[in-house]
Amino acid sequence: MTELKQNSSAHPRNSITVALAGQPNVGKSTVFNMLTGLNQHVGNWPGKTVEFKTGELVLNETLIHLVDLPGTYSLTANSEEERIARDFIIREKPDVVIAIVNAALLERNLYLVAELLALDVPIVLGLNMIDVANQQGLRVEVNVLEAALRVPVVPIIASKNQGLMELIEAAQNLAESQVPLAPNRPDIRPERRPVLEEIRTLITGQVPQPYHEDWVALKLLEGDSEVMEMVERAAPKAWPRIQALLSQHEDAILDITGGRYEWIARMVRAAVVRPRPGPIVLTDRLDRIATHPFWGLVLLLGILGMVFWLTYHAAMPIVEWLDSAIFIPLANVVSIALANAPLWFSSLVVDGLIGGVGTVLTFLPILIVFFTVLGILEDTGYLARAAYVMDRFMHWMGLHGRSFLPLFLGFGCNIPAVMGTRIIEDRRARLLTILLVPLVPCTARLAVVSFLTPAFFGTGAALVTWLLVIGNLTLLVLVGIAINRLLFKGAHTAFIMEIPLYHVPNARTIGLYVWQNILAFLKKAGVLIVLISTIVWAFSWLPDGNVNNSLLAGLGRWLEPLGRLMGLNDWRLIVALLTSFVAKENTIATLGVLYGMGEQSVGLAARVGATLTPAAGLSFLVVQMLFIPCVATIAVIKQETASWKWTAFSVVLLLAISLIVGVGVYQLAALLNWGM
Amino acid sequence: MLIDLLRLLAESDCIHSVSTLARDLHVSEELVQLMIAELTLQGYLQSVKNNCDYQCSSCPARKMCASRNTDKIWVVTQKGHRLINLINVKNLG
Repeated sequence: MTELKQNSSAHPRNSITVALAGQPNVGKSTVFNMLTGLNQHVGNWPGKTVEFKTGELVLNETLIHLVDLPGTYSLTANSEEERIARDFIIREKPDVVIAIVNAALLERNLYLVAELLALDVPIVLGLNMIDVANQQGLRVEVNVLEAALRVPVVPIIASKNQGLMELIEAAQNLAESQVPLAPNRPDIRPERRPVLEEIRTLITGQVPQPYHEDWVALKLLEGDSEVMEMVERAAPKAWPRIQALLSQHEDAILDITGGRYEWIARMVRAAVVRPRPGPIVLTDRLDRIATHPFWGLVLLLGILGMVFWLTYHAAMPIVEWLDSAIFIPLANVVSIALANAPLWFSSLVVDGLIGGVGTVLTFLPILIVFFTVLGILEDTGYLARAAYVMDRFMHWMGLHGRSFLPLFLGFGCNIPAVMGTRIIEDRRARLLTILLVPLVPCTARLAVVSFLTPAFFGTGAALVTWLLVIGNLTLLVLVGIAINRLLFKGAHTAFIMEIPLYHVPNARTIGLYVWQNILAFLKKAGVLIVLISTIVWAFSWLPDGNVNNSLLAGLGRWLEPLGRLMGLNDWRLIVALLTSFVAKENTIATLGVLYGMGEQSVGLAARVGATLTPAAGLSFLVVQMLFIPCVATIAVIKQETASWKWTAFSVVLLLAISLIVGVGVYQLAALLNWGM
Repeated sequence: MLIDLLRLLAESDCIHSVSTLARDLHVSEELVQLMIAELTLQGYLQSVKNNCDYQCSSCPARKMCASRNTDKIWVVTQKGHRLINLINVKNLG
């Protein structure tokens, strides 16, 4: 490639007009500036706000008027720039159009070239940024591309002033050439050719100059509004028949644009050698496992298991330390400090606030682990694969493909999951997805279960928590299948998901994500859980300060017969479940209040664990996992279903499922004489 | 080719990735992305992500949402399904 040197002192004998076309950001302006130097005029296109740049250069005694057309993605009348570019080419008939394309984004850029070729104008292709393409491992075979397109192709690096002389010389040669043009143009599907031909016949002799009848017929079939208006005015007699044909072939645009994409694919397949870069190879290798129907599921379950293993090995020791080294001593110190204060006030601070809110705060490390893992999985690009793997199970449920997305959101929080069902158009499908959302265990529910499970199952806690989650999801599938059989009639819909390349997670992104979520949790603990802890304490204090005679104990005892079916002989556990209706974390806050903080030497989980057999503990955890969602979720269910009936049905369904499964688990354990 | 892509989506019932579509259609992923954009522009596909963005603005739990909804997802619209049904009827005829 040689560098261009302007030769403005030569005396031209003839002149030609060359238009520069190209998509935005392909280096077209750089080419223009390099070719014209200071010999350029900048203004606006007549009556438009779009910049109009022209310039001149002399080459081999030929004065070349260079016109920089606005950057456009296509030549359909979608924007002012597109109209200006195509009107200039049609009306001003430049001798040559130089189409500048980015060699690194050839597929994207060739679409405009496909449209330019339809205008029947001589074209030279300026293949810019070949250095960038080479850096990306792409090799464009210029000769092959030239042969495939049947137009001159000149490789250039505009930013380095390389190849521009050859480019402009190629344009000049083409302008002066007498050889008829025979470029390789995109085809239209054979079944559309008769209608194109009929439209072409209907407009023959009626299209205003300088429009080409073939191009006008094609644009009519494409539904180009500007061309349609022009033909309606120019051929009023033929217009009703044309209009009828166009409405019969409304979808022809897909065949025409589809033909251009086929043409692009052929050109690129012929001329571009694409060695596979490293990240794609790595992604492909990893995806062979991550998106495999069987191994993908094994990996997903493994990751889920790893989360709970990490929770119990990294977070639980800190939870226990916070409980035994911070909150229990704090409760003892405050209890001593308030020894002379009224008993109710001391109880409120120690049992209500430290016991309730304090205990909830101890499971902060569990949430940090959950959010960190979720953040890492998302940042590496794995979560999209998990969705891909789970699709098969959505089929078993007969759920609409779109239902998967909100259900997946439910792992974070059920509220956005219910909101997310808005993407489902079918009302019945949407309602059914809303009903299933609360069966996806949210972070708060998982944190509560993670906190309590070690008290009942010791070192087997990670396995039990993992099985509880699998159990919830299995139940979700079973309920989905049942609902599908009754109402859904097996409707399915496909969707495309852009699966990103894997990449190393960014510590700052994940840190920020964890921080935002923890901050939200702390705010919740500071307002809602303080309030509920205070109310629970008040009802456990009234009327005489003895928790066993309290209003809460009365309610708990009233429900005790139901609890006994699940092995829950302690009314405090039933009350704890009930308060989780306000927020899931309240289970812990309530247990903290009712099991008392003052004068204790062991953590809350251990105190609760001591009152229950493993079978009863498992039943309690199962009910906790399946119990009705928090009040905020129910409010959103009401908002999204716009129906009290469906909201009530959701609550009753989940209440029934949780109690039936809870009782079933305990009774089965009793039958097998396990953990009694 | 656009019709082939639309048909593939309208007549299947699973998740497709851009890479699997590229393999099925024997084209590059870049071209599949361009075709998805074209079909979306013509109203035959719909980007679901935009809806999620809209939803989040009115979600009471947005400040503590554990999901960031960064994936790009497209579904076939009713217009897309109608077109493929129409083409199938024509082909049968």
